[in-house]
Amino acid sequence: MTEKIETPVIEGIKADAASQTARMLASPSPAPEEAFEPKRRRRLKLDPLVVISMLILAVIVISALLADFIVPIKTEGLSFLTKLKPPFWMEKSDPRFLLGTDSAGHDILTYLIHGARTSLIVGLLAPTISAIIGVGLGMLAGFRGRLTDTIIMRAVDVQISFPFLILAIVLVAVLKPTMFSLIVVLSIGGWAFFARITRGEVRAIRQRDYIHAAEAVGVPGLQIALRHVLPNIFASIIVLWTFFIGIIILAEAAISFLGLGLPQPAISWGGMLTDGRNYLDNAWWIPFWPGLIISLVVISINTIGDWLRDVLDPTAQR
Amino acid sequence: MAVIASPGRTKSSSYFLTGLLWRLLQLVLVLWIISTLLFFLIRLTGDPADFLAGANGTPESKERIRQAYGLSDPIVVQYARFIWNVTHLDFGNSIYSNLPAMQLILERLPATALLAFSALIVALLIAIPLGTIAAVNRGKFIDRFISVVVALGQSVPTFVFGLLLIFVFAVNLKWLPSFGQEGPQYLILPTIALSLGFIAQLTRLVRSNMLETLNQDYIRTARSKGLANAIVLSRHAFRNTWLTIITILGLNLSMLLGGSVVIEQLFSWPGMGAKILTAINNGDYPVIQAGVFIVALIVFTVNSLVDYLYQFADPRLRGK
Repeated sequence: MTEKIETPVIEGIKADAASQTARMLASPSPAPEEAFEPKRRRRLKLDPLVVISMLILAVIVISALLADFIVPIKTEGLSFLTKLKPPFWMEKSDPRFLLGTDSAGHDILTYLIHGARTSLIVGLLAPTISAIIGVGLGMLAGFRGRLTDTIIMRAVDVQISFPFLILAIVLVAVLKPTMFSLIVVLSIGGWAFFARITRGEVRAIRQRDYIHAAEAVGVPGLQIALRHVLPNIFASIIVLWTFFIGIIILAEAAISFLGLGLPQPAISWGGMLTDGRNYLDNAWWIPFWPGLIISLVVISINTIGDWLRDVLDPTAQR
Repeated sequence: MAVIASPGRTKSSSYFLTGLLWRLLQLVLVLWIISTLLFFLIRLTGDPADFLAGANGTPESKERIRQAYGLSDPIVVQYARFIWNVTHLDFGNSIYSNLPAMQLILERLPATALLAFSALIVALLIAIPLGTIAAVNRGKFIDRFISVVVALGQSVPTFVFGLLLIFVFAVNLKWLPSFGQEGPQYLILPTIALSLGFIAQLTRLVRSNMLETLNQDYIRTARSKGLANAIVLSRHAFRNTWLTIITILGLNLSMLLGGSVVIEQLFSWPGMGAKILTAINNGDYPVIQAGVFIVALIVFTVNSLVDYLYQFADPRLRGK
């Protein structure tokens, strides 16, 4: 597959830094020992780490779905008596509150599970919207003439270079934080990366014979894009999408941590961390649990992303 | 660079000049678009006078604001005036303190620059050796170990890592202060927290780049000449990696500026990000506009410069 110029390696969003210049340098002559290896068949080999990651995510997703059944939010019985209870293994813990309670006496486990909903809704929807917009624009840039290409790719460069978190907090604040505005704003973060990858792959694929054949027979452009090109770039898109779930969950947590996320009754992991900041010296468990769970979720997603990339995308270099 | 002095020099130097002009033009265009977006930002969701007057604005105060900001003029006039002022870096006065918004942002710039710069240095100092060690020991235990550290660094959010640092070094060990800016020791924790993600990314980059480079013929030649491993790595292999690091510096700058909002808030570091955040919380739109504009100005100027300078470093890219 030598015609593939843009390697769809996403070393985290951060490393997609590689502008075309970097990519040119990075486009490698394959390492000698790999070059002589016979074509390996890619099998779905499950790494134990991947299995663990999937289990962690499954537990979180299921408990978030069932949150209202397993741990309904209780407001009655809240009092100073249940305030700042430590997790179960410590002295003075209360068996009703496994992971302890926060400064207002809320059960942290309950809050974690309900907070997962915000993270998961935003984390699944925003990358999906990014992907749809980005793939659409990337196809346009790849298929259409030079002017369209230039305009779209310039916009991509601008979007990618601007610090996204600053853009996001300004927009969320102006639009007022609701679930809808949060999703819209966070979708802006990803489209450019999807567009860049799609465009690169489209450029490579459209030179192939079967595309020329389809064009020659008179298949309409949209149909070529959807039927003949999209299935070929789907693997890269899925890999990028997976990584973006993690990125968006982090971004949402950062926004809530800065106090600009969904306003009160809503529960979010980032917001729990902010509350816990002031209790580092006497109730470390308040920020500990949300911090742990955010990290775990993102590590799991990145592990699965890495695995998917290896499985789906044999050309990607490690 | 001997390559630049090759035949065809006059041709390439004129290319460099037009390249510079072209980049400047693009820079102006981007800043103009950003300014336009900023202009419409506060008109996005309603009457800007409502925003500017704040939550407890009376009809009179709104009227006064309309007068003061010329909000009764036709929108085209307002837009022209805004763009004209932007070219003078004038975003009006802060609603909160009545000082020029741009001044409020600029006086915070040194603190952010200091933080970002020290994070950059720390990241380079840690990531380059780490990535090189991983590449040289490819597949061995130390490589695996470094890759686990890198994976953690990319997944643990800055604010969680920052809180952890505060918990360990400020609350428990009491070695370092966790907030403020009164001396060099105040810089340590925020710098480490900010550099984490960057270290992870850079280590990965250095490793993969080194792996590629180490397989090149000229490295084998250098080795077969009997040069010491350290010299081969530092003189021959690292040159290539360095180029790649420069290319992504522009993007890392944007990463550092974005991350600095969170870190500055967490460590009460009096930088630009913290100022923008305060302005957002106060609904202080002139300061928000000035802040976003300055961030854009810095990021895009540096990116253009890096892109431009890169061509001097890599002759292969000329004429592209």
